[in-house]
Amino acid sequence: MNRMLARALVRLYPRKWRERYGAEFAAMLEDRPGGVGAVFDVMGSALGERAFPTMGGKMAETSRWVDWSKQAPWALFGAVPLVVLAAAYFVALMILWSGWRIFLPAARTPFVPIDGWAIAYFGIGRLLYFFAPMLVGLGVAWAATRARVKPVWPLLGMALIAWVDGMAQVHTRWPTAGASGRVWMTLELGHLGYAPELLAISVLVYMLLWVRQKRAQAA
Amino acid sequence: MRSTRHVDRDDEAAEAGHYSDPPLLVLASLADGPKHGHAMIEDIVELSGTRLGPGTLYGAIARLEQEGWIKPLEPEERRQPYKITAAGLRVLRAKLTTLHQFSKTGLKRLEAL
Repeated sequence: MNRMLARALVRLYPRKWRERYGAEFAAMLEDRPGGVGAVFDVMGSALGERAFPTMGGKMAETSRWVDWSKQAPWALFGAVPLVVLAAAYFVALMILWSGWRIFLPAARTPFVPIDGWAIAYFGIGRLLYFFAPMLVGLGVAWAATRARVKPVWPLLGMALIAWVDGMAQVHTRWPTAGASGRVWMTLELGHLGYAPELLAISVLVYMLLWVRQKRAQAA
Repeated sequence: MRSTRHVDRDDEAAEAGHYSDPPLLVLASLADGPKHGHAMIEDIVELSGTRLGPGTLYGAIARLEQEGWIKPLEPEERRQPYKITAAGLRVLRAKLTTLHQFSKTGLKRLEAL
């Protein structure tokens, strides 16, 4: 394998792992053929090492966001997930609005039967709209497990994300002579939607990750 | 002449017969004597037909070393050989015994079909 590629791949691992195995691992990579399979294998392993460090974290690096989780948990488990969710909703609404203009210029609403490329285009927006809250909730669970914080803030963060997901309602307005069509979102207090299911999934995954980490520490 | 279908079936059976438990494969490879990463990969191919990727191999090595089941020896130039420890040998023996019992029972059941 090319020396530059080998070094770049080694850099994907956490610092503590690199300090222990980096030199010998790079030497082995350079000695071996560097096919696509080998590259993906190393990338997957590096990702795994970052997500679940060897021996339950002894080889994890203390990153800045782990420090934040101690100093400002409300930011890491509340504000940041909300901003990420808002960004995902914004992109989903942009896809809905632009798809309406591109594929359904004569339709009074974008919520009509569609075909062809429109299915794929609107499909991306739908996936984002429906799955972004779940992914953000799972991200909170993962971050909380990595940072090993008390469960209060992550659970509040997951509940907040689930609540926002339940309240979010999309509206559209038919274009008139004076104004173009509009797509917007409101948060309707008291509307729960799929919030309980979303919260249950996030909490379940958080518990599983927590148990897995405890077992790794005990081993 | 072998038909394509026959070849596919053989390949499929060979593929299904691969054993892939990286830590156990590494321990089994080191039971034969100390080796560095490159030699382990080639030895494991001979041993089990499974070619471990470099990332998978070092993931297993890191975990086995943390468990105290293997330990590094003096480096040979840039290569780092490892050897299995007494604890590693005990673990390997226990795991292989379990697998042996499992395969014996499983094969017996297959014979009965």
